[in-house]
Amino acid sequence: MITHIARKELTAMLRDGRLRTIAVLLFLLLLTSLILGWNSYMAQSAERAEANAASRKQWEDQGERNPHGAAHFGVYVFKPERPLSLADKGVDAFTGISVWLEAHSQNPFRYRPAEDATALQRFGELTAANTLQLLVPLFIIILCFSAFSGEREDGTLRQILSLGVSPQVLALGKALGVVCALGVFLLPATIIGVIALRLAGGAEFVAADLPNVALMTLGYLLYFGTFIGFSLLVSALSSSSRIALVILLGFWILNGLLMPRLSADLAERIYPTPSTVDFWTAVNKEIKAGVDGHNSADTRTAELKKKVLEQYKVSKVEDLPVNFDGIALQTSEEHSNAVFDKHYGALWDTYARQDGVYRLAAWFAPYLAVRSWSMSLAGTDFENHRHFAVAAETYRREMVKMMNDDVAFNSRSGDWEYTQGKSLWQSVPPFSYQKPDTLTLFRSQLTNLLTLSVWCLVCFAGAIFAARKMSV
Amino acid sequence: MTDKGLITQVFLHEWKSLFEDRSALCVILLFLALAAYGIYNGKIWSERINAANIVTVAEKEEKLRASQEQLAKPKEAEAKKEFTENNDPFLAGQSGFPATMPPTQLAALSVGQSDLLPTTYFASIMSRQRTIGDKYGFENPVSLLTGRFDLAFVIIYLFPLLILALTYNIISGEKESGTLQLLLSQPISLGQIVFGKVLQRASLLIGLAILVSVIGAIAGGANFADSQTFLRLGLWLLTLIFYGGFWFSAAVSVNALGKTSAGNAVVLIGVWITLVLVVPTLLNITVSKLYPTPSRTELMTAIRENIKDFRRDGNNMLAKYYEDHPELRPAGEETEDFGETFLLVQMDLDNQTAPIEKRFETQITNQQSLVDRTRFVSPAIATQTALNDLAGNGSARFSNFKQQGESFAEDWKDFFSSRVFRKTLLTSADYEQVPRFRFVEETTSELASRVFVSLLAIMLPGAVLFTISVFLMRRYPITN
Repeated sequence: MITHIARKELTAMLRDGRLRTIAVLLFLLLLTSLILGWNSYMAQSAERAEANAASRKQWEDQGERNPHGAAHFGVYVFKPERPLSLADKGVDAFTGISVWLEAHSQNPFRYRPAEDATALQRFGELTAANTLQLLVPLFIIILCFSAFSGEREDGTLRQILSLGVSPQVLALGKALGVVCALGVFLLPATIIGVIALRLAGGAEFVAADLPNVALMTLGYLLYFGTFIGFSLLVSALSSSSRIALVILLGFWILNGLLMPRLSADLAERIYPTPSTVDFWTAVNKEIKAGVDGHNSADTRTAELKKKVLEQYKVSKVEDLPVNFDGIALQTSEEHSNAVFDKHYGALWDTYARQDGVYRLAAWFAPYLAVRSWSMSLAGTDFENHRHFAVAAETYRREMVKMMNDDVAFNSRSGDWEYTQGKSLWQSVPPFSYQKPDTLTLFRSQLTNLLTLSVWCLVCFAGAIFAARKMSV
Repeated sequence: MTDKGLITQVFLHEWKSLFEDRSALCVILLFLALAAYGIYNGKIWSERINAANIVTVAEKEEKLRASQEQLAKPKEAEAKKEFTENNDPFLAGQSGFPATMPPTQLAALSVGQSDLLPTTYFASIMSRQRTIGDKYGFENPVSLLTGRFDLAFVIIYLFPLLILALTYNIISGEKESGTLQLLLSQPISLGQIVFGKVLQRASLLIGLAILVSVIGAIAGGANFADSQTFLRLGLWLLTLIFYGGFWFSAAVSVNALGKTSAGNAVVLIGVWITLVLVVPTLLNITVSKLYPTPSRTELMTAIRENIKDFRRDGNNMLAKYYEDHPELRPAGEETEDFGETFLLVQMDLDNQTAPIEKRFETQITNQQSLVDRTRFVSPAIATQTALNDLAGNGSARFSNFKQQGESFAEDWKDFFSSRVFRKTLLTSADYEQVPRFRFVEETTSELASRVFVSLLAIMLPGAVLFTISVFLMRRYPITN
């Protein structure tokens, strides 16, 4: 029986010219965004790989110089693009793409793509994710709002039920019909998407990204299920199709328009983001308060000197078998590292706490859960960015330490004429980045998955319950 | 009864029925509540960035004043020959000064680009690449992606929805309840009925939007003694009227097609989605494809190659060391050409990167001018541009600020570097002449003419829809 109803619903939808038009438009929108996403992914990833190689080459070819000078020269690293970003760009436009790794300083990321765009960027980006998160639910609402109320208004509801069809079966049949109608254009779009990903991701795609695609799809299915269930529920309970439509549109506006902005403000109000000035003032103050490797008048440096002299059992810095300046530089580096860890850690934890507010708000707006779920698996949310930033910073510290240690243990104090060459630069391993695996991302997003599942289940159960209770 | 009398009667009747329609009242109250929240939120935001800017400037002013005071003391003057933090043009120039963009009187009404683009431009004798990092705001990227809940958001996104909620069945509703035929049996035309109904809703909804904007301006702390306040607010209200007018025309013309109320609602929501959500993203992608910004990689490579060459040519290791640590140059120590060499490197670096930066700016300008020329494709785009411009948080003002900030940075560099090269020490009198930044607002006519184009871009499609609906209403199918 369910399949009969579903088939009837599907036929009715497919024969409705307006619905067909909307479906075709949505498909074209998805297709366009996937093609454009693929296109920009290919260009970006080639460009960034090239940039990383160029930066490494500059590092190796920087010529003879003091290793600490080399640490100042440093390297630029560029964040690699993830293949799945072709479907969901997440916050990529608002996090920088590159960071300069140099001695003494954990620099912020530079070149946020949104700054190289016009204010139109603020309306959102044309991505498959945006279409799936905002437009497809609206299409579902249009497909479903009159599912029961329309039948009631036409007088056909009484007829169907008199045939002995149970209301639950009717509800499930209608839901299945909508699923099929969505499948007609979403399935080809998904297949095209996967082909684009395979082309973008190369041979590693199957192992590296396919699980993410599968999980992402699961999230979207739950999200669409939520809207199907909710729409049927409202349609069954509303006295007229018009009221059903108004309620559903209201929910759609709340879900995709109001709640995201309200929760963004709320999150910042509860967990305020520090201002740039405050951040740098605090960082600079704390770095100065510690050992300053460059200021030998500093009492802390004096203490360090005393310690080193005792360790090597000599009385003068000149007699040390090592270069005291190198040791002092590394000590001060470690001090500033602790300061950076504290402040960047606090900043990023603030973002994470703000994200907690979004997670709570997702109980009122499933859009927030699916957005977060989707961009996390696409590798374009802030946690993914943080993962890269931490990897880059770890590399910076290792690189700087290698340089300072070379000064400390291969030259003598005061010998600023000491230089090193290509072999030392080459001994620093090139920066390589391992993106977080699917399981890590999955774990970090469990709450959102739970939220989506509960939404979907409750809405479906509600729809069936409402169908049984609805007035005929 | 005269035509006018009939229209008045329709108008008054609509008011009466509105007060009896509880759901309509709820929607209106919700709109007012959201608008109030938007104003509150925008005010908090604009005060926050402005307060941070004021503190930054005050700190540097204090530092300059303290240095000047130190130099004015006779004891310091005696020891003139010695470099100190106060009299060394290199150190003073390096410590820098922030150029900040002040908020306009309507800043609280639209956050615009102010959460993304810096309102502080740091001038220093260091190269631009060195100071660029300071400018970055620490807004949560998710908030930037989501956007702010300000009055502009309420107007651009929610105001049309409010209008559509109360007008989507402006003709179809009468038809479905059977009152249309009854009405038309009176000596009144469909056009007159619709006019009366639209007039009532327009006076209410646009009136409310005007009211909240005026309240927003006052609550946001607008100073009405300022000559530009009235102009900005006036144009803001005009934008509202035109934008609202567009959506009324859209609702009427869709109704005039003679479909059912539910059908109208679906079509209108589709129009809203297309114009507010889809068209801007399509235009965004189009302009960025037509005028792609050059690769940032190239910029990085240029900076690096330049630094590398200098270092290879340099032969004094100590100078190299100090060049990495300019802040550590010991006061009083004779490192004769260090400051000069360092400045030359910085200048050279800027000269190298300038043409590349220029190409970025050119492309963004091209993108912007294409957006400006095509903004009529969506009244939402034109309204966003207009409201951002009027609140002083639009792209044009930011790019103006950037230029002024850069030119201030040049003045700052010239002032201090000339003294570094001349090897003269700063005196208390020199401090009187240290350049300060004052943002020069664009002229009233420049602002007005820019907003005027936006207004035209909102009005034109509205007028076209209006004409179409007048035409359609003449042949409206009164019966099914």
